[in-house]
Amino acid sequence: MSITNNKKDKKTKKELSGKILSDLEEKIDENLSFSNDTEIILSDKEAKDLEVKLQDMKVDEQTKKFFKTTKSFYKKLKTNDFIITLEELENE
Amino acid sequence: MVRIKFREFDDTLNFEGFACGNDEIDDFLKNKARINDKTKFSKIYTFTSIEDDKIIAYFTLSVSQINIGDARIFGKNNVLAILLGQLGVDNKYKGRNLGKKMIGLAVEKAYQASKIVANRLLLVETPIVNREYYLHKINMGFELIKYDKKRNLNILYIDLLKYERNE
Repeated sequence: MSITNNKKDKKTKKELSGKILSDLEEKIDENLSFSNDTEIILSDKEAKDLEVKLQDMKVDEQTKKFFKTTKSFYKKLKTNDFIITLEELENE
Repeated sequence: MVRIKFREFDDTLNFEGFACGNDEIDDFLKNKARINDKTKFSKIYTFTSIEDDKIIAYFTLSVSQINIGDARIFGKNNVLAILLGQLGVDNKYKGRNLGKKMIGLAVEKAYQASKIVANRLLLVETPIVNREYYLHKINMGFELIKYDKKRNLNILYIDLLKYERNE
């Protein structure tokens, strides 16, 4: 009984996190803004954490895919005098 | 078929009617883009409609740095970076992959710049509500540098060295 409930709970959690992410995705409005007037100062801990991250060259498969896709998309644009149709871009 | 072109901003482009839903980003294009471009304070890249040269999306890049009080990263007290300052997609063109593609193009341009003048990171800033999306959902290699509690914003980066090493 409890195993069944656990499975059910896990499923519900999974569904819930999926829903939250998809809701979040809808809220992403394709806009970003970062004022250059803002000085970025790191604490000692943040600096240490960043140094550790910058030494770690591991990249997960999906990020690798994004990097490769980006490079090939740029090459494709360049080959076509940087012209593309919206429909093509949508399917890239 | 709508044909669009990726190009650098210049005076001939038409930005009338551009509205992305964020006043700051709209205002930058209408009132500050020209002067930023002319003074070389920001480099502005656009997608324009071929038909009428209308800007349908744009982003800006400029040089920045992360300061590190008394600590050091690789023996230095700052890290050089490129700032993705503004990125906006006109409301009429949202949901057509332009936002993600422009982030990719910003990474590529920042990487090209890093081959001439050293810089390691592409920086972006996002509201706290979008953090999970950029860090875990879209798999573009974003990592968190810091959470700015005062402004309730996250500063994220993409490591250009990782981009270079993953041909």
